[in-house]
Amino acid sequence: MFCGLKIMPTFAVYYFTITLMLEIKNITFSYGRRRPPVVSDFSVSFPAGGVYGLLGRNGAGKSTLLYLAAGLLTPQSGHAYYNGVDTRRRLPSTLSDIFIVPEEFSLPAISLGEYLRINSRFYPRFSHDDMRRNLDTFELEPDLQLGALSMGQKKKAFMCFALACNTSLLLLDEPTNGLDIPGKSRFRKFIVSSMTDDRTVIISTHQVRDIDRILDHVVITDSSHVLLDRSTAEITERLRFINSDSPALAGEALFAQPSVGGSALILHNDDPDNPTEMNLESLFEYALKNPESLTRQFNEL
Amino acid sequence: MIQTDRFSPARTISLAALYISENRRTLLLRTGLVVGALICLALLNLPYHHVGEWPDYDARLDDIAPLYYFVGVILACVGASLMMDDLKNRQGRIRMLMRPAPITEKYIARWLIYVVGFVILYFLAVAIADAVRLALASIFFPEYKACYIFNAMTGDTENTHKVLGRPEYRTTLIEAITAIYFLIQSFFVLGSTVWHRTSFIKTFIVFGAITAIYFACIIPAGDSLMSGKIWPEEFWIKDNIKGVMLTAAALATIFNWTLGCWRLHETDVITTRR
Repeated sequence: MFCGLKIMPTFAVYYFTITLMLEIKNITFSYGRRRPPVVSDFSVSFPAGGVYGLLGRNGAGKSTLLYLAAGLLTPQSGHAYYNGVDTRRRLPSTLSDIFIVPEEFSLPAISLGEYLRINSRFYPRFSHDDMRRNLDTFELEPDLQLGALSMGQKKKAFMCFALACNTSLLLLDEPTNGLDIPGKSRFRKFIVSSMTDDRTVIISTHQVRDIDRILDHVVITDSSHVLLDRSTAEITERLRFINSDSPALAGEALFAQPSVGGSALILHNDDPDNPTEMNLESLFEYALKNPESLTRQFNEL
Repeated sequence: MIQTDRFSPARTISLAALYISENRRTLLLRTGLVVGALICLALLNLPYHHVGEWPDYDARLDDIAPLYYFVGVILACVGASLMMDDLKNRQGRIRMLMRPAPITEKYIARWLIYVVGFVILYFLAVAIADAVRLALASIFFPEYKACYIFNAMTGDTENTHKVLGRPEYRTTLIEAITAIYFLIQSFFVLGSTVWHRTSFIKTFIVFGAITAIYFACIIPAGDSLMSGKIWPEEFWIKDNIKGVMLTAAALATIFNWTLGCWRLHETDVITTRR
């Protein structure tokens, strides 16, 4: 009770000063008239600034949601607004401030230099210095031939370009798929180093271990509900993540999941000043299996 | 860079340049195929005999000039049906749709390449192919006075008549060829925005069927309703009818182009059946 009262003012200030960058309102979308909707009357908001993890089961509509957010799909009902403008209008001023890196993409068979020359002019905040820095992070040469690259290298080069465009909103769909092990750790460094106060990065992925340390915010969804939409700070203040084989602790746990050498447990955090490291896999399972219990943890003061 | 949400000619040119740069190899290959096909046609029509009555007359122009026109229309239609070829997969659609420019500009950029650019390219290809024909004719048939097709377009010789028609019909012929060319091609431009895969065949079947139905049903029906007056004698040389036909063709062409642009506006990254 005391802890809840202590963090209340922080929440109040947070919720009254945020500016919504991306707002998805009551969106319904299906891939055919007779097919069930992939996303049904779905609403979620992303305030400006921070790295958001968008998590959900296979087929929960995460990629669809990213496409809808970018205005690449037309919803049957509802809207996606970027800074108050409906993204489906596909206005150049909106498109030049949003960049999506899809799971699969193609690059033309030209040199990277030429690709930058012809594409960067469409992004007013594109920075060649940032591009060089990004290429260095991924240990890529600036004189690449895009047609000769492997899928992983193409992804690195494309992400370097995506970040160098300095768009306020960056949507990444399964960004670590196809990256090698050093590539994944560099990806984390790459995202963290490029963050600014007004930049929002939304990462949709199943590879939670690749991104769990860089997230500021976790959004777990199914096709029509947001099961969890909290900052990592709030999550670790409210929940304690431990690995233990103690039956007593397992009895107290809000959620227990068998893992190597015991169980991954989620418990109520009685000591918010000493947060534990978030276990995103367990949190995801908890949200899917017992969403009411999880909601209760955050509604309790 | 221009950030306006309104139409920007400079950005349209940038989009056209971007498309050419990203598809340089494909476009060069297609250009090579056009030039190669025309050279083959020219070689098949190498001169082999004189027409005694007119010693300066290149008899092969009888065959080759209509062939250049006909092949031009076919290649223009094939080219137009490839206008939105890269939208056949999701990656291509994302790349096109996410580029920060209005859809109208993206459409016009490609229209400039495949409609306007093709005309220029085709004239160049004909110039090259006919130059090859002339060069080979001078080697293998030195006694034959082959006429370069662009030389035949000036003056009022028998060669000119074969390429551009008799003087009394010339303007009508050129206007009709131009109108029919752009009208037929516009159907394939529209088809490419509707079907991104095998667009040429689909457009050919659909618009071929519509045209066949039109001629099979509508015109005979209209003819009977108007007591046979729908086909006035020598209608094609009467100025008023010519004007009506040309205006109708121009309007239909503009309608197809506009509809194509509108259809592109409705394109989503994933094709859904609504």
